[in-house]
Amino acid sequence: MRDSSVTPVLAFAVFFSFLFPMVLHAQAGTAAAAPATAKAAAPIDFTGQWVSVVTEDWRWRMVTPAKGDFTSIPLNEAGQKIGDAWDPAKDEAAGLQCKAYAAPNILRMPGRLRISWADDNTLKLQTDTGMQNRMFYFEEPNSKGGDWQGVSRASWELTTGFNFMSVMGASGDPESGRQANGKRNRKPTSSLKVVTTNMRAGYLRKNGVPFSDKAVLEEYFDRTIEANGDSWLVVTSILDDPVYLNQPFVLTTQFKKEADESGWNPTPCSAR
Amino acid sequence: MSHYPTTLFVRAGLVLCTGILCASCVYGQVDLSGDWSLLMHEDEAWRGPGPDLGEYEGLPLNAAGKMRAWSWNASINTLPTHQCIPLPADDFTDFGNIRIWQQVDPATQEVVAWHEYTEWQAQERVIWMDGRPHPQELAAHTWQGFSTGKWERNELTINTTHLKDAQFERVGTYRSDRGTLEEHWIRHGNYLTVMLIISDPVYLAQPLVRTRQYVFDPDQKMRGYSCVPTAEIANRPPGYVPDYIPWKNPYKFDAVKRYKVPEIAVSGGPETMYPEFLAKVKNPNAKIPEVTENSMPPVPAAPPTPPDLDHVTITTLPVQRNVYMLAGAGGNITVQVGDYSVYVVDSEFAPLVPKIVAAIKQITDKPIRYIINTSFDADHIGGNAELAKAGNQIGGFGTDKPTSAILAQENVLMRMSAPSGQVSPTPESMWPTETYATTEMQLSNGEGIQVIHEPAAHTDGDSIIYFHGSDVISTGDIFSTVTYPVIDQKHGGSFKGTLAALNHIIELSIPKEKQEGGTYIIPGHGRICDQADVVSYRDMVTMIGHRISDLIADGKTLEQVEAEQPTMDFDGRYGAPTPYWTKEMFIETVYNELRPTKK
Repeated sequence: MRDSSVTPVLAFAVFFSFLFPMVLHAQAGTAAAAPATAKAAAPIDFTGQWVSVVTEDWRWRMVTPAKGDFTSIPLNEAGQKIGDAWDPAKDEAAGLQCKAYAAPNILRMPGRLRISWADDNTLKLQTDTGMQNRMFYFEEPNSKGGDWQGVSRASWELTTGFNFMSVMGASGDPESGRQANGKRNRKPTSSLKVVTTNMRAGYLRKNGVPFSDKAVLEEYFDRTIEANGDSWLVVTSILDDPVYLNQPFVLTTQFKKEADESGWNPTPCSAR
Repeated sequence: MSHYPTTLFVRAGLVLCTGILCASCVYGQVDLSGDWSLLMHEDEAWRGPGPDLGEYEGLPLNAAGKMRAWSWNASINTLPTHQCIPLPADDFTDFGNIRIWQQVDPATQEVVAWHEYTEWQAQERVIWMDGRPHPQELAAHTWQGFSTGKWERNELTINTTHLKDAQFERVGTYRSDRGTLEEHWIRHGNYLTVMLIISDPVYLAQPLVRTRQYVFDPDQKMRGYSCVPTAEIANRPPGYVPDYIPWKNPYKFDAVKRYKVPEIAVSGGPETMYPEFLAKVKNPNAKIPEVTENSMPPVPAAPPTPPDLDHVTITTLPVQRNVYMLAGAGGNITVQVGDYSVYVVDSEFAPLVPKIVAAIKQITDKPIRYIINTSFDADHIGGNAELAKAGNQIGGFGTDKPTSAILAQENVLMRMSAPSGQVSPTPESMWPTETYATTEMQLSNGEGIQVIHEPAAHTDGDSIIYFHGSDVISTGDIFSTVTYPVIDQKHGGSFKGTLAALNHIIELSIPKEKQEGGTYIIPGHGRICDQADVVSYRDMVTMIGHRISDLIADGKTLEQVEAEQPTMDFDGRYGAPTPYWTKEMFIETVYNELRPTKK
């Protein structure tokens, strides 16, 4: 015969087992108050100098491909028409040598990046190739865009999906549980998410493959740390352009961390 | 009833622990489960139609990697032994949609493993998450290797070892079986980024890092993939291996003409990956900083010191069904366990016999009835006398104490003994007690055992032993994963006979699926193999023969042949000297045999 006293004891154990880790998290949260700035909240450090390692798309990155070579890009008919009309001399004459150095393509250019905190809520990404600056704003941007790099809003990526354990936590605790308004909190991952809009129309490749000023660039920055001491910056970019692309254009570009800044070699934009 | 409070307490404790464990693992994980479609927005030309022969820009190939790539001829894919080779773990992202799912422990609900299935060529990978160690060094290698994973922040970090020698691109660029793979799988919403870091001390000067993308696609229909190899080109001679002489490959610079790839870049190398190389693209004479080649260990010039046998341990590896491999200091030992007795192939060295016997006792307590020698090499017969004493041949005679029989091909006895009145090279107690002089001999020990003579291969007395029920072949020194073929010309060995024997082993063996498993092969030295490993070795030996023949045809002397380094692309894998064999000896042996004899 089943003993009914089993149920409440087990129920208590179940409840306590869920509560216990939350208590630990809450204690950790108490010891270190929720960070007030993006810099303080950074789950991983992206700052430093990084060099691009071109093991992919070499023929389209290390040399300027021929006009009309749109290999791998989901370019629609309108985009192909623009690409087929590429004239670098015309760009030079118009002072538009930096069209291929805009946000959607700048990280595909062989070169080096420097990432640093411009202030507590703004990350700055500089490139030596084309000497471009990108600003990743965790708070309201102080730029309206309209240039090659547009306006980039940054955030630490949050986990997706339902985390049952988080339902059990204390109210308002950033690590677990619900906020005061009842919404579930989601835990930050170590990815930096950057969404860039308001870009001036430019090129996806140096051979005049176009993107429009309606394009939206979503990027995820991740960092790996290898057993041999190497560290890699992995940038996954998703470009959505309703004007010239048939589908989102998805790339991942990798950069290796450098021990010093000796390789930095600023070079101006080139249309060819 | 009196035990009830204790039982309840234990139950509650278990639930408590499980809850804590689950909480901690949930916080570190991302769900990767589901069907994913491959995006080809990078390297589409490489991954679809495939790159051109000779086009390796952006790949950190070292000199050996380039030479091997220049030897590759696409016609090799027409050979039945090559047709079903799948994309290996470090190339699975090049083509095909994938499915990922979890394997959970039903009791704890913890993730024991992640599984990944690639539709193209139907390959399944298992990434163990339960902390199990990687297999022993001498265990078999597979196309997908052995993978373990751990969560690092939002990245699933995977370490893969035990990979077969395979191309990481379909253009002859190889990662050797000493290579390893590190991966980071990172999910961002509906996109999955897979980062691959391929390291190889043999063919890569620096790790090759690649990133590929997938998009979540729950509506896709995955299909199976079968592969039935068949001879696509009839009437080729046995053992035919299509290749190019690397220094005469006519297609080395095709991509320069076809795609205007700068000539200085097309052959690849680590320097082509970095921005500094842009200066060379503009001006081939430009000076750029040297790139460190950080993963190529030098091939030692001197052979290793012979091992101290007192400190050698015997490692036991299960091979398949009734067969085990024992590895110590000499040639590998094969142990086959029958219904009533044990058959042992080769005996290493006498001082190791107590350890060998102890290792066999760990497998079975059945008596050793037969010792079969694959040749008369000291490191294969050294323990004959002592090991025989530990055995017991049914119906044996001629000794006061029962011993096991020692079987070998007739020439082994001839080489070990001497005519009456002369001093024999080895004591009589080590000699074979039974020999065969025909092409083969058949035994049985719970399964059919074929002892096959391979004439004029490593020596003139070589036997390979085929355990039919277990589907395992023990090859002796005809095949090794450690050195170039050891060809003892003085005692009847030959290059052509070695190649014929390797081809015979390939003929006898049948893979289970996709050129993997099925018949397992125990080499004279080195790790457990299957047919694909012997094919890879046979291809290497054949290609080196082609190169030396070509140099001979060009009128080169032995010194000139050596100066051309015809084995350079395999030296990092097989060129390390041993106390008894060097690559120079191998080249000289092949040269002497292949050069035309004066009439």
